[in-house]
Amino acid sequence: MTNADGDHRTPPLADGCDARTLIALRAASGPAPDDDAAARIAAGAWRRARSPGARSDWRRVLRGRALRAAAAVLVVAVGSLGVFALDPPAAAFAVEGAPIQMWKGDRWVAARRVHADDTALYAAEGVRTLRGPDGATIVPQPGTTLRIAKGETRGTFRVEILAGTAQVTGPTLFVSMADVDVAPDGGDGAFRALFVRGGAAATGAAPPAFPASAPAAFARVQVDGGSARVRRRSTGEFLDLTAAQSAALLPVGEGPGVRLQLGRLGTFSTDVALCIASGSPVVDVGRTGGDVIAVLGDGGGAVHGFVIDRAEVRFALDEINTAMLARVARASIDMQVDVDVAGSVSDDDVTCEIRRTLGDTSLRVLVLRSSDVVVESDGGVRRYPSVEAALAAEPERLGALRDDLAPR
Amino acid sequence: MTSSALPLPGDGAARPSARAAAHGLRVLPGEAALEVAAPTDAELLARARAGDRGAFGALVGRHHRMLAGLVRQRAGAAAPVEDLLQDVFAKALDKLDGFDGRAAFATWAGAIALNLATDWTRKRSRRSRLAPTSSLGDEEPAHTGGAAPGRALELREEAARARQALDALPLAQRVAVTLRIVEELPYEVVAERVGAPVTTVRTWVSRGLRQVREMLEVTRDER
Repeated sequence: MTNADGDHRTPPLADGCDARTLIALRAASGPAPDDDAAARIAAGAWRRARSPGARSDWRRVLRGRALRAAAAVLVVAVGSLGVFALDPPAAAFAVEGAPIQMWKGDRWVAARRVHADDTALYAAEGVRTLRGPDGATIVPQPGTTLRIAKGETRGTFRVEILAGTAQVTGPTLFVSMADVDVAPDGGDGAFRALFVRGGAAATGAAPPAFPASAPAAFARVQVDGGSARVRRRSTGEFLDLTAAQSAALLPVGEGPGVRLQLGRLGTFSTDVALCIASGSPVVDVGRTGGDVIAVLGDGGGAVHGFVIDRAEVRFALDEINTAMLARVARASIDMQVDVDVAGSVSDDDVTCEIRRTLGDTSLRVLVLRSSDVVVESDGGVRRYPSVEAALAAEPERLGALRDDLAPR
Repeated sequence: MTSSALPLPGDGAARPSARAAAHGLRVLPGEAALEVAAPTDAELLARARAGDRGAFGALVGRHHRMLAGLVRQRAGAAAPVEDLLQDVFAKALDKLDGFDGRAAFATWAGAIALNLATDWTRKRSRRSRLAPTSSLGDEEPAHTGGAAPGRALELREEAARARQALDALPLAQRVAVTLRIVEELPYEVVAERVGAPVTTVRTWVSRGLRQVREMLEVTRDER
């Protein structure tokens, strides 16, 4: 691109602008107008501004001071009515750090500014903060899908967590997960909370094929600052949380009859284990955001969730197994596999998981990064150093899975 | 020599030294014996308000390259830039009485240019919905400098990313990046145009470039 006064230019590459960025910027900005363009543009603009019908004619009509004042009053009045009658445009959130992916109907597009227009957003790898016009922030962890829309009252926003984990700060952010709404209590600006929806934390390596919601069970909120009311839209039940308190949607019941109930979350402790040992019914065990949660009923219809410290998972599961509820036993065997495989194996260690029902037997096979293979069936867990060793040891059971287990 | 005596672009045949002055630059030794201070935007605006067509031409000559860049950044390479710029400056001339000088003229005119470019894009979009033409006919020509087809496609995608990144910048910062990187003006001139300290402009440009780079990195990662 040339400039008529090139003698005073300095190479822009010296600004730390690499050649690729420079080329892209210039391609985006197009070629420079030719040297005579200025004269043509000036002449044309002058003519248009002075031509009959141009706005300047109206200005000349309104030259009288009184008329101008009346027009100004009219404009202000109409403008004021407009402000009250119309919704303000969707306010924007600036994306600080890594860009966020925005759903464009058929694909994800990286964005550094997002409007509160209910568009699905996805946080891929990297760290970013979404900062609202009033300074409120949303920090989605990689693997999180969310939407931001205008709130019911002016200056507020509704953040919907579809999947993943997000830290939210600011009294103007109202968060929903499944049919749970979390409303900050009071406007002191201290509201800060962590929201988790879905199982183990996703790595966020690549966006999903389309915006999808994680299961609602075990969706939880942890208030870290200020206070909030957590309310279910479908039932109207609610809980008030203050700093350091948590609540979650906890599953109650079995099979098709399972329903969700709002319950407080505590930390699994020896006292909880004693309650289980003395007969408090354990109604479920599940995983959310990488944590294991045990759900206990209190006999009166209410349920409580207890987050099990990762170092205590084996001990807690032993206690829960002791309760001998068939459903819980099944869930705990699932957990047992993870514990036995590597002491604290994470989802990242598993490269392949296969589940099959063969006759009356449920079979679960995990292939680990270390090439070890773990086979779980009939309530037992067996570990082999390789796929070949597993096939050799259990040819009848694993033969049908040979193709699925073959390394790719 | 006073600034008012300068022949200005738009007046007809302007000498190179006068054109340099109109860009806010100083005349080099050898071209003139004395350093000549160019009229400021405020001075040119005052004269244009009074009906001085030459001063208006100087304003156009000083800002039209940057505004052309903004128009193409918003409306793409297919936009009728000269036509839109005539509208931009006509509108600016019409609204000069309402320009209070709190913002720099470049930023104020930049906002008008981006708004008109957006309007043009919307109109074109409506037209294409009502009477769709062939995809080839609608395809936006890219300023790819005669690159090979594969590279031209890549460049078009990267230009779109750069536009996206520029759209996310505050207006004054966007104007500064365009003046510095696209029009290649010295920081001192850019600072004068946008009415900000040189250090601030350096920061704006640096951050703006970083954002564009990051957006391009996303493109690369997606391939």
